[in-house]
Amino acid sequence: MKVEVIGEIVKALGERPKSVREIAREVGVGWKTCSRYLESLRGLGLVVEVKTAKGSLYTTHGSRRAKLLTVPRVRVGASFELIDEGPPSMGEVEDLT
Amino acid sequence: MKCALKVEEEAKYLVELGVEPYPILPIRIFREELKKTISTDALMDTGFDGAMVLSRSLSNFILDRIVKADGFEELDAAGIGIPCDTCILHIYVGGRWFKVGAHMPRMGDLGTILGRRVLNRLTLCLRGPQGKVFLAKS
Repeated sequence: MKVEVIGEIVKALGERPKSVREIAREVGVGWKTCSRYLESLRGLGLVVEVKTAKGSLYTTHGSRRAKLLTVPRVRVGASFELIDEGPPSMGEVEDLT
Repeated sequence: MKCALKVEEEAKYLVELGVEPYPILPIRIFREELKKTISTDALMDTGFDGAMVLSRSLSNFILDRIVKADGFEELDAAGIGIPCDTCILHIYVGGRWFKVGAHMPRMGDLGTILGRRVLNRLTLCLRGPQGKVFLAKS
């Protein structure tokens, strides 16, 4: 395994979880090579595989998690109602994902 | 500095025995598979740096109706990692629609929480003594 490739993979994963295909493209290696590297890094506990509806994503073990500083003592939103209201038009949605 | 806020919407603090009154915001949640829009309240929590946490009842309702969660993520709740399913939702708050990633804890119930990812996009005025929250036109 090449240290440079490992460095590039870890760097690529620093931004956000990514698929093998995305990582391979960014690092400049083949899909199979990238997959082998990720499998080894996963075995070492440096990379985590997250299974999603659209396939597997990889992220570094110490990647940023959303933080809740304190656990609220109150519980809001236990009840809800369904209303007849249409979806927003795509132009008016601000993407915060 | 003079305040020149133009109020778009008014919300309130909830008063409950044994806890300090807390500000909540009315929100609407939309996702294609749900067919309808959900109307509920969320706790304003500037101590949460994500977008949204869903209450147990809301999580169950949504997970029952969508094929599969969009992802999985651990939420760091006061240093404890809580495993969460995540899903992408459209939420309406303060007169605007946002596309956000919502956390749905697999254990426990944190209630529905709006975090800084959303709150930082809104102009809010907390009037604690009056028990009111004003959402201003941005």
